[in-house]
Amino acid sequence: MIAPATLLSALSWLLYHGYEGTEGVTGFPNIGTYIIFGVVLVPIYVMIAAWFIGEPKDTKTGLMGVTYLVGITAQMWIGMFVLTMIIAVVFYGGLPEPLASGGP
Amino acid sequence: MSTKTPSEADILRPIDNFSKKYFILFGVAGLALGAFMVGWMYQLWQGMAVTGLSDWGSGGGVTWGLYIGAFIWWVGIAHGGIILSAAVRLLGMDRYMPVARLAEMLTLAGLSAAGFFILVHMGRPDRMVTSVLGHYHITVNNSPLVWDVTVITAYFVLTATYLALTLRYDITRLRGQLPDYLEPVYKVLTLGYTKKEDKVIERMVWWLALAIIIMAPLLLHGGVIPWLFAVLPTYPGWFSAVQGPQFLTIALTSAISGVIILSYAFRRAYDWDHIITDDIFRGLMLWLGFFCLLFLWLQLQQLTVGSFAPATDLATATDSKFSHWMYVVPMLMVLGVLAFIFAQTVRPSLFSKTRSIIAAVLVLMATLVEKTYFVIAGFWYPTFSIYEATPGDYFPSVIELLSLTGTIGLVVLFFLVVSKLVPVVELHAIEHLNGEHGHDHESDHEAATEPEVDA
Repeated sequence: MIAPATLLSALSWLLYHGYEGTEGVTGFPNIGTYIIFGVVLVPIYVMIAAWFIGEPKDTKTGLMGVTYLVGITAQMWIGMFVLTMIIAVVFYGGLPEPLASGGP
Repeated sequence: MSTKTPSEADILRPIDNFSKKYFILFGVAGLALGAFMVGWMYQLWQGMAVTGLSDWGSGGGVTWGLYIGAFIWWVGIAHGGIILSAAVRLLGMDRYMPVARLAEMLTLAGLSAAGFFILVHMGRPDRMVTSVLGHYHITVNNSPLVWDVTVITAYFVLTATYLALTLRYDITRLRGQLPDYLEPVYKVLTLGYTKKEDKVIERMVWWLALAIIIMAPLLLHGGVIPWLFAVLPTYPGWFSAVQGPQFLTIALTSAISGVIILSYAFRRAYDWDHIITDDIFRGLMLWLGFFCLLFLWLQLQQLTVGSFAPATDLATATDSKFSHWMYVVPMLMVLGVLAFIFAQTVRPSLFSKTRSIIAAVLVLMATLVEKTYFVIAGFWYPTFSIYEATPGDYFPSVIELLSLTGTIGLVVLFFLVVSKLVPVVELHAIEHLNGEHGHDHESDHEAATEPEVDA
């Protein structure tokens, strides 16, 4: 049996992992949590639900749509990751934290 | 109105034709982008200080300038596209079907340019991905900048998915007439295609359009982007609940203007006067007039509240608006365009495509200057004038000016390349113009959802 205090501490570590100084000011939940996940992204939840509920539907085609969403998101951020790492090596003398030490 | 019949050959023409003008335009756009890339590399090498931004000591307290103004401007232009396209699909505004895909592509190009500005305005762009993703679960709860990154990503992904799903139909049917050397591209784009997916995809993109038409205008350009400014109480020029709707009207005016210019360019280049008809331009001009009216109406709200009995800091910010050319001139430009569109409505013979282009260019210039003024004036007049003693004055550096021409070059290059890959006019549009309904998505959709009222 895990003590509630241990669980809370583990959760806190997961959330802040070294950024405890900002606890209370930042962290879950706060206004952004509700605005982004509770309001702004709702049209996307509804859209994805509608892809799998109602007629005409086809689970395989619906999944293909989800793959497009996930794939394009990944391609955007992986692309940006590669670009920013090139910038890091060429202009800033090495990879940024946490991939390498932060440097001076 | 032309008597030519729209055909598949018409929409394939950009893919097959390489003219001298095409290469010249490609060269000019490439040079514009290249010049900015050189400037950006210099900025990366020397640091943001070369622009005077991020330096509290030389720009009169202004640390956000043309980069942020142009960022907002490009996101605004990006909006036209997909909203127009969604309106065609959701509200049955079939008149605009021939320009819908061009408009969707403008969204992708505009958003790419806007996203680029985020990267360019970072002091340490190398940390962008690691710091955003590594701390997302903490920062998204509190940082409007992270909300912005989230929603711009979502908007780009939804638009790209929309385009990718609708392209499957066209590419499969036109495959025999598309160039063989691009076979791998077409194979990926139509992976797993079966004819029976058409109806399902049609319904999926209807829901996609619905998600976009709610999220993009109301929650992105009328929400997350203005909130970057509107939630900051010590900047009276920004702090206002009206910024959401105000930003949205600015986005919509510049977006419609972007679509007018783009449509005209393609119509002229590929002899598409029977596809992108005068009727489309007349309709777009009416929408432009309506959005110009809303734009000015919301400015009036701010000027009235800021003049009647304002707090001291708001009074100072509002006084600047009445006296600074960067605010007054754009307002007069938009007012002039509105007056012209009104006159054109009363007397239709005043309409011409050249005048429409002039109106669109004026609105684009006005929105860029107004948005840049909005950003820098926020820093000029903060509460307690805390930057009063900061020496210097802000004027965009050469690199910032190059960023503007460079991103315009980027968007032009995007269209020059993409128009060689896939049809920029939907096959549906040609079928619609010819009165063919082999692929009757309207009835499919109605069978699948609640009955809707025609707009």
